[in-house]
Formats: sequence, C-alpha cells, structure tokens
Amino acid sequence: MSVSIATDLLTGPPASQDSGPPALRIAAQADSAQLKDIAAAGHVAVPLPVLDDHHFNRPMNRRLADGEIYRLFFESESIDLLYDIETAAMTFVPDPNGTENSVTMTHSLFGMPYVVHFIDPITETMQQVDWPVRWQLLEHPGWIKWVWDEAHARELQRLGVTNVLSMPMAVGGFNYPTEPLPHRPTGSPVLFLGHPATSWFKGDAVRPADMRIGLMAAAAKADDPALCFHEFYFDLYRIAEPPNAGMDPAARAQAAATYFQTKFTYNVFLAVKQRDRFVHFLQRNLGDQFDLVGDFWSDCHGMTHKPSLRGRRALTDAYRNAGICVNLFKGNAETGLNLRQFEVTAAGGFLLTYDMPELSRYFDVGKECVVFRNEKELLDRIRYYLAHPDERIEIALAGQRRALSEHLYSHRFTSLVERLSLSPRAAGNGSRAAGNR
Amino acid sequence: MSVAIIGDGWWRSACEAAGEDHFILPPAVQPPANPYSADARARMAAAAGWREQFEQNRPECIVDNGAMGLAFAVDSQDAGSAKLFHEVMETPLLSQWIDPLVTVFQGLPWNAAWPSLYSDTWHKFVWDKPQADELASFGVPSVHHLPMAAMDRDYKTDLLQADEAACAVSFVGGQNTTYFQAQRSIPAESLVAGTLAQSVRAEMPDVCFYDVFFNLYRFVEPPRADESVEQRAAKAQNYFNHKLFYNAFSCIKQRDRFVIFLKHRLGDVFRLIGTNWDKAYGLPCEPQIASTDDYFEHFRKTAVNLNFVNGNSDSGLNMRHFEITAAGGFMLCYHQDEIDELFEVGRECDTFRNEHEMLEKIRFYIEHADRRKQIALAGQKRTLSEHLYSHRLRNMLNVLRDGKPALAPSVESATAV
Repeated sequence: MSVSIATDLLTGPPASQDSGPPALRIAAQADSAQLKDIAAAGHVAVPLPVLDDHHFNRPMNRRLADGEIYRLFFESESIDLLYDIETAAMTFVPDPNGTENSVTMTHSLFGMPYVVHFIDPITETMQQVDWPVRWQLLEHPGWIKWVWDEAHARELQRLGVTNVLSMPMAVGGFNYPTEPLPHRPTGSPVLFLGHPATSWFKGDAVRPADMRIGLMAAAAKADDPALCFHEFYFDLYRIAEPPNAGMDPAARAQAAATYFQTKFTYNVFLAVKQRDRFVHFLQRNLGDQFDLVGDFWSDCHGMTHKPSLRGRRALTDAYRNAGICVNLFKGNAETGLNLRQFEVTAAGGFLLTYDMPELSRYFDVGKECVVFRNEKELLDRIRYYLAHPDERIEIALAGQRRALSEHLYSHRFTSLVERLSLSPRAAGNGSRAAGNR
Repeated sequence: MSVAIIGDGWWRSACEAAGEDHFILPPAVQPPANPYSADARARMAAAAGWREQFEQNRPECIVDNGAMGLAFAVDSQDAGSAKLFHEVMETPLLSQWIDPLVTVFQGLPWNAAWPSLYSDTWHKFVWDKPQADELASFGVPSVHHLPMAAMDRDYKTDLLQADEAACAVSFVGGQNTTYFQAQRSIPAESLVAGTLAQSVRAEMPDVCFYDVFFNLYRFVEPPRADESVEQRAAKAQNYFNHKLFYNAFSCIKQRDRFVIFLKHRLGDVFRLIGTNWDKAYGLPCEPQIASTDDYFEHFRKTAVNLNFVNGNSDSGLNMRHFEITAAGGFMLCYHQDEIDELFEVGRECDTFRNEHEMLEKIRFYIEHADRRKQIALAGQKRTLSEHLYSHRLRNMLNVLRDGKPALAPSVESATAV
C-alpha cells in the first residue's frame, strides 16, 4: 500500500554522497530494546529522557507536563526521527502559533518525523484521553501510525486517520542459538504461549440487540473469509458512510466510535475463532502433552495454565525446548501477523500457526513454518510433525534463517527509513511553527 | 388398512395421491392456534376423542406433523400416570418433524416430552440430518432423516412466457428470531458454546453443534446408553439451552442478513413477503399470501425466487425449496449441504454462498430469462416426480411395512447411543 506523508515532516538536507546510507539519530524510550535495534540498523540510538510515567494510556495533562521535558531535550539534541511504541512518547506543549490554550505535539516544533508503532489496536491506546481528542490526534497528519495488520490500516484510512503505514511486526535482535533443535523435545511436546483473546464471556450481562451487526459481519466473513470488517460495514452492507472532511470533527469522532463499538462483537467472534477455541481444544485433547503458558486463562475460561514467561532468554528457551509452538491470533487481527510469529521463528522454534492472509508474504508456508485452519488440521499436523523430527527441525532452521535475515526490528528500521525517505537533518534544530491543535 | 391423519394438512392429499385409505382426526389444538402449544391436558382430551374412531377403523399407523399425534391416555392400571396413546392403541406413530424439538414441545413440560421420545413405535422423521443425528445420539430410537416436500395438488406445468414475470426478485418467509430484538440482557457466558460452535463451522461447515458440544470440545460428557431416560433428559435440556444462541446466530447467518442486504440494495425491486421484518429491522414487508392458489402462482410469476432457511436448519432444506419448484418457479437459494442430494444445482435450481454471489446470480438470471425458465422446468419435473408428500408418505410407510430405511443408507440417521 502507498503511504502519504505530510511534506513538512520530510525536509532536511539531501543524503551525503558517502558510501552507505548515512546514520540517522533516532530517539526512542530509554532502556528499551528499540535502542539496540536502532543501532543494529546502523543508526544512532538516542535515549529519550526518562519520565515519571510514560504509560501509553496517560491523560493529556500528564503529556502536557512531559512536553516541556521533551522540548528541552529536542532543543539540545539533533533528532532525525522520533520512534515510539503506542504513543508513550507523545507529548504536548503550548502552541506558539495558536490561540491561548491550544497545544501542539512537541516534536512538531522541531519538524522531525514521529513514528508510532502500534502493537495493540489503535483504539486501545491513550485511553485516558477523551475520545474526541484522541480521534482528532489520530486524524492529524503530524505523525505516522505504523500498524501491523493491513485490514486495520485500511480501516483507519477509511475512517480518516492520516499517515497510516502498514508494516509487519518483527522481533528484537538477540543472540539466538542457531544450532538445530534436538530430535526429542526437552520441553513440552506442544506449547502455546499467550493470554486469552477475550474475557468478554466472564463479564457482565450483554444485550443481544447490540450484537446483531457484529454477528452479521461474522456470518458474512464465514462465507467469504477474505472479507474484512470495514468492507462489510462501508461497502457490502453500507451500515454508514465513512467519515469525510465535510463533517465537523465531533461528528467524525462519533462516527469512528460507532464503527468500533459495532465492530466489538465481531472482534469477540474472531477472538474465539482464532485463538481461545483452539486453546480449549488442545487442552482437552492433548492433556499434559500441551503446555499453556500465559495469564488469565483460569479467570477467563476456567483453564489451568502456567504463568507467563518474561525475558528474551526464557522465551527463546521455551520455544526451542518445545516440540511444536502453536501460534494463535487475537480478535483484533484480520490479516496480519502477531509478534509470536517472529519470536518463535527467530528463536529457532518450530512454528505451527493459524493461517492468516498476510503470512505467505513473509514466510514460505510449508518450508519455514506450517499452518492449520481448523481443529482437524491442527491435530493432524501436531501428530505428523512430532512423528517426523527431521522435517520439523529443517522447517525450524529455515524459519529461523528467514526471521533473522528479514524480520528483526533492525530490518524494520531500515525499511522505515527507506520508505519515509529520511535523511539526517541539518545540525541545530530551531523551533518551527506548527498548526493549531 | 388405513392411515389416521392428525389435522387436515398435506397428508390427506398425500394419502389420496398415494392411494392410501385414510381418515382424519382433529388435532389437540385447532387452527388458527399454534398446534405446538397443545399441553398435556389438551392432548389427553384429544386422545379421548380419537379412541372411538380408532376402534372403528383400526388404522395401521398415525401420521402427523411435529408430534401433533403425541397424546396421552390415563394408565388403566395406575390412575396417577399416563401412557402414550399410540402405545395404548398399539399403533405406530409416524411424525414428520419440520421444526426443532424445543419448538415442537413448547406446550409440554420437558420431563413429560423428553421421555415420550423413547417410544420405539414413535417414528420421528426429521428433515435436517444433523438434527436427526442429534436425537439419535441422545439415544432416541426410531429416528429417521427425511426431507420436507411439497403438498400434492394440481400444479400448473405450462411454461410462462418471458414477459409474464410480474415480480423480479422475491423472498417468502418470516423473520423468526426475537433473540436480538428484545431490550434485555443475558449472561455473556450463555453465548460461549454457540459462539464456539459457529466459529468451528466457519471453517468446518459439516460439523454440527452436537459434535462441537459433546465430542470436539466436551462441554459436558455426552449421554451414555447406561444412563436413565431422566439423566439423558437433563443433559438434553442443558444442551438445548446452550444451543439457543447458536440457532439465533444461524437465523442471522442463513436468512436475516441476506434479507436486510437485499432490501437496502434493491429497494422495492425486492419483494419481501412475510411477518415481523418490519418489527425486527424496520424493513417494509408484505403480509403472507392468503390463498394457496395465489401463493403458488406468486412463485411462477416471480423471476427469481430466493430461499433462505431458518436458523433451526443446519443442512436440511425447508418446505419452500419444494413449494417453489413444485409451482414451476425458478429458485435461487442459500447453499445448504443437503441440496445436492435432492436437486441438481445449476440444472434444477441454483445456489449462492455469499452476498456477492447472490447479487451476481440475481442479475444473471434476470437477464437470462430462457436459462432460468429451463431451470424452473427441470426443477419442477424433479419435485413433482420425487419431492411431494405422497413420496415422503411412501418412504415413511416403507419403514413401517418393510423395515426399509427412510432414505438410501448413506443418508440414514446415525446409530443410537
């Protein structure tokens, strides 16, 4: 898909004529894995100042207070790109060109591009910012929204979100062991690592009347698996018109809110369809041959499980020790690949994954990972690959080679810089005029 | 030997066409009341009224729809209990099921209705194969899979001229679930089994709710042959409660969504004839066609007769499949698995699997009148030669008289638990 970027984000001196692309100064959260990945991509990783609270859900007043800290930082550093995860680094300062009480995003004073990588659905970040303001921020062209699911990217664009970049997730660089897996797994034969995709069934009472449209979408998708929710909503059933520039901002925000509220039941259906049901199935059919590692399974579904693992070493060991690592998707994924896809393969584990439309673009299915579409295929493939260790080991090795050569975050940074045609800025950033908030 | 028919529906004309002697017994609840609402007292009173005709005519069997022939007589040995009337009269009861169990038994307490099913001489002919299998899997004996049909009557068989189509696209059928209408709340947990089963079916369409609930996902242990009827009744009641949302979702999936889609896309070009669409979705709709002649004539005069099954059918066809084709109408229907066993798709009718395909085929067949008339003619020949209720009656009596399966062995019901 093409990306449209506001041109005032992209000014800067042309790249130097030296061999190799020049290194950019990319700012990211201090103590984050991203700093290593930035450096691995050949750029200079500049840690952002540490804030008292950099949670991505914090409210506007906190972000406004943080803005001054970042402003001073940007004034003293020459930053070519501000990189962020889920708006943790989104801060604000009073708009020097705006009316009293208007604010602007801090980075925009300095004309630097700001890319936010969303791991969770975009609507689940900035939750302590009122929705109309949140939506207005999303519509603003002053930053780039990197999402990993193409259907979600297209949906956002149709809702009026600007500068949406669709690019898959990846995995951080690490000293991954690359020797072949042992014939007999030293850990569980079958492993799933992850949380439940939905806790909705344990929640409060629900109103069936609110579910109807989401269920219609789920039904339509069952008969046409390529159909995405935005296509159902705007094209097939024309539930509403997409928001347009002729509407006032409050109306556009409301239209987007209604869209996502309507989509909720559909997401719950996908959560069951793409993850939770298979976990139930595996636990019931494989018993102690199946390790369920993750939190909340007992609360949400009454299932026994082991607690989550933390840390790259622990995760890598788990993936390599298991015979088969099963990958399943949450309800917010319509086409794209989750983090686990890349974590397992990079670690050298054998990946058996629920099939997703974008998968074959990034992995050679059958050679670098294996897929299943239903319970029968899942069991059949588990049995087959446990009984055929040579094939399993070969696929794991091939999947690892692919992940380590193309799917680390350093590769994504390289791709990001290329796609945005970024180059180092001139030394000494001055403040720039920015639009009113 | 004669056949006792409960109510004056299509079985009378079926018996006449099949050359079977018959007599009619009044149902426990008379039209226009809902026959399924008959409670135990009404069924007992009905049985008392039937006895004399039974003793005079000594029928070979009783034939009904939807368990209207299920009646009770006070046990002569124990005034505190009742026996099944057909067992007292030593006369097999042959019931054709055109609605699911929970609908059919709505007038009876579950603990009276469910044990009645275990009568060996009550033959249950179920139109939808997964539901036949479901009953058999609960240990219910004498379950047979038998599709619905069209009534025996004189159907016009002359070919309509191309310009005689009075209506371009039509669907005749009601909106049959109130699940999503009421402004009420329900426990989210009650939706788990149905949501899970529907998500499985999205990828494995031949898997039915019973398979998901008992076998694939083991929500509870399946019924066992060594369990008492009461234990199996309790399991069945729990099962059907869990199935409720699954059926409601199926209503949306198999019918309601397409009607909503077409009304918005085609507007008045799409004639919607049936009840409750206005209340449920605010869609303009016409009342049911009152006269039988006008009803069948409507199918003949509609260019494209759409058919969508209700939420209670997993793979089976509804009566409309046979009524449209019997009338000589062209039928375009949502694909149901059993259709290939009963019609040659593409030659005797056509099907679609999603909204795009439906729209494309509507446009195609409106533009290609000769093609659709060919299909309508072939579909009518098929139905008039194989899918009338006289044919079904023959199947049912074969079970009784010759011990033959209702249909070919490959589609007979599953072995009971």
